[in-house]
Amino acid sequence: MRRWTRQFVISVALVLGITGTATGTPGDPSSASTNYQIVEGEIGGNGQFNSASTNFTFNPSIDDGGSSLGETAVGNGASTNFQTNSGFNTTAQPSLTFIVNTVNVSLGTLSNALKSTATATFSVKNYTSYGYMVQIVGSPPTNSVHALTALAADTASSAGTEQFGINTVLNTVAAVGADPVQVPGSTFSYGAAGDGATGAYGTTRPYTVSDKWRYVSGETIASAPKTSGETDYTMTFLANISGVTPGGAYSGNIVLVATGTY
Amino acid sequence: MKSRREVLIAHYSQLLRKVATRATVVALALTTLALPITSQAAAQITSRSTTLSSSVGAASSTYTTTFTLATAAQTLGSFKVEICDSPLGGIACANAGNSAGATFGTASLGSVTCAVCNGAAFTAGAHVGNSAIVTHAATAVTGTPTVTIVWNTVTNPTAPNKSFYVRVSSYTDIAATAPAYPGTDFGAMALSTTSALAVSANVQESLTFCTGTSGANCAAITGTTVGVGTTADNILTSGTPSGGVSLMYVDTNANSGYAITYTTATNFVSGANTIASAATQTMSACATGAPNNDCFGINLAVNTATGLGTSAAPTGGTAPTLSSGYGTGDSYKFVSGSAQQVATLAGPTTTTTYKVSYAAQAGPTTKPGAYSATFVWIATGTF
Repeated sequence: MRRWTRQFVISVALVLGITGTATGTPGDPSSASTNYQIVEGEIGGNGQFNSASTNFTFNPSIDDGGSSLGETAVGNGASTNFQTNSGFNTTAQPSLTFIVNTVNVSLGTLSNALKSTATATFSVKNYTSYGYMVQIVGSPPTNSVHALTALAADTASSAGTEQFGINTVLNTVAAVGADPVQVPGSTFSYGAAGDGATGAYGTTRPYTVSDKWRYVSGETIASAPKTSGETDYTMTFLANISGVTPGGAYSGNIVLVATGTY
Repeated sequence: MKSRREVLIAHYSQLLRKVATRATVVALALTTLALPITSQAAAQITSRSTTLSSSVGAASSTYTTTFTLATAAQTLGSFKVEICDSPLGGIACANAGNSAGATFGTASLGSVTCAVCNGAAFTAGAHVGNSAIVTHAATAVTGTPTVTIVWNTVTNPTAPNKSFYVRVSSYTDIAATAPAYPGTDFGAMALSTTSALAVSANVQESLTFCTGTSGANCAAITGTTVGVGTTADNILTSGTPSGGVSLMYVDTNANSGYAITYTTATNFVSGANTIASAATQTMSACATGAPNNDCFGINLAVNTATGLGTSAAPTGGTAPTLSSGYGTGDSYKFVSGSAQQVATLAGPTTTTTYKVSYAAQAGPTTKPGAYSATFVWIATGTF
């Protein structure tokens, strides 16, 4: 018995020792030392959530499957076939937050001598999923008689050639757009431009090639391979016209559709 | 007098009875406590997703729900798909919050795909409000099949940028009531409405048109005079036609194309003297019928006669239609005093180059003088 007590005290001391050396700043979700890091740390007895009163329930509802007690770290661990989400108050319920921040995208008055670009942003957060994808649905802008030519493959801008396309990365030459931004950081969020599968990111994967644009309705422009915190995306729209692009006011509604797999 | 052994046996027997009695009471109590849970003991459907054809709030959308059943070989009579505010199977599906406005009342069943659900094909059951059922005669499935249910023209929740949930559950009966909700298998998916992105741009109507006698394009074109005579003195020869050529370039994005016309205030004249105008005929035919056996005309075609300048058919862009009298080689026409159409195109075009051939010949009695006509060329786009 004394031996067990000694081991317990040593264990507690070790735990307290690790906790005591962690550093962090208010608002910073991570506490880190040279060799250790605790992300989304919480001060408290345990990480149990959804305790109830009156008719007590220890486990949350049907598909939560259990409570979390005493976690020391959070985050997602995944292999090919399995994944686990650790941490206080990380619900097992499916969650998808999808916000399109831009309502109107104006490309201005088009010219056959210069390209026109504009941007729109959207954000996706998707917990307890096996990833998500964001698709674009809709037709290119039309003047009711003629629709701008959608780029069926990732193509560089060519002034004087009718083109309409988008991408979701920073365009360094055109100096427009932005790469996806992970919020609060890449430890928690895993969204990326493109479908996550086709070709190679940045070179052959659709919508991920800097300064190349494409538009095919139904294609995936952003995705995450697993449950993910918030990722902020910037879509860059490109339009070029030729000398025979019919005049008029062009417009079209493009819908973004986010689908999570659970 | 009982022996010590008998006393101990009686004591422990009584103790065992008490323990057994209390254990039974505890077991009953636990069973009672557990009963409410069994009503929610649906197995978790896996690999589940619902894809919308449109995520715009209040839009009509196709809901494609794909999932893999969890309970092997279950007896399957129906599936229920619901649009809810919460994903929790233990909470009744309400759609007064984020999912408000969503309804299957407008929907029609697109398809149900399940390779090993066995039995008859699924058909649409009740689909009103936020719930839709597909049914077939109860049949045991093979293993844990993957199922895809497609509902068309479902009305999305009204509010944009709101998270909502689709629940799917399986039942042994065709009414989707057994076992009690949430059925044999259950799973929920999170979705979100959004706002549509309105993309707009303006393209100005354009028409580029220029005339001259030399230059490769409108930026380089020059010249305003075409001599139709011969030699440096621009002399018309009796009985022998001569001529010159002018250039025109045109491009437009006019959706219905353009027309080119010319207008001259006068015939080919020198003061009061006039050289006869061609009427869709060769120069010789024209001259033969003219009072002074002279003639003047133009065309936009390839002429084989020599001494009339380098003629050519229109090149570049979309080929236009040349008007009657102006499109046949070695045949000429000229009408003064009103706008005369020489070419048309019914759509937009990149740059088309025209060469206009002017031809004239004098007759034996043609009065001497400096003959001329001033052509005003006009291109009109129809947008």
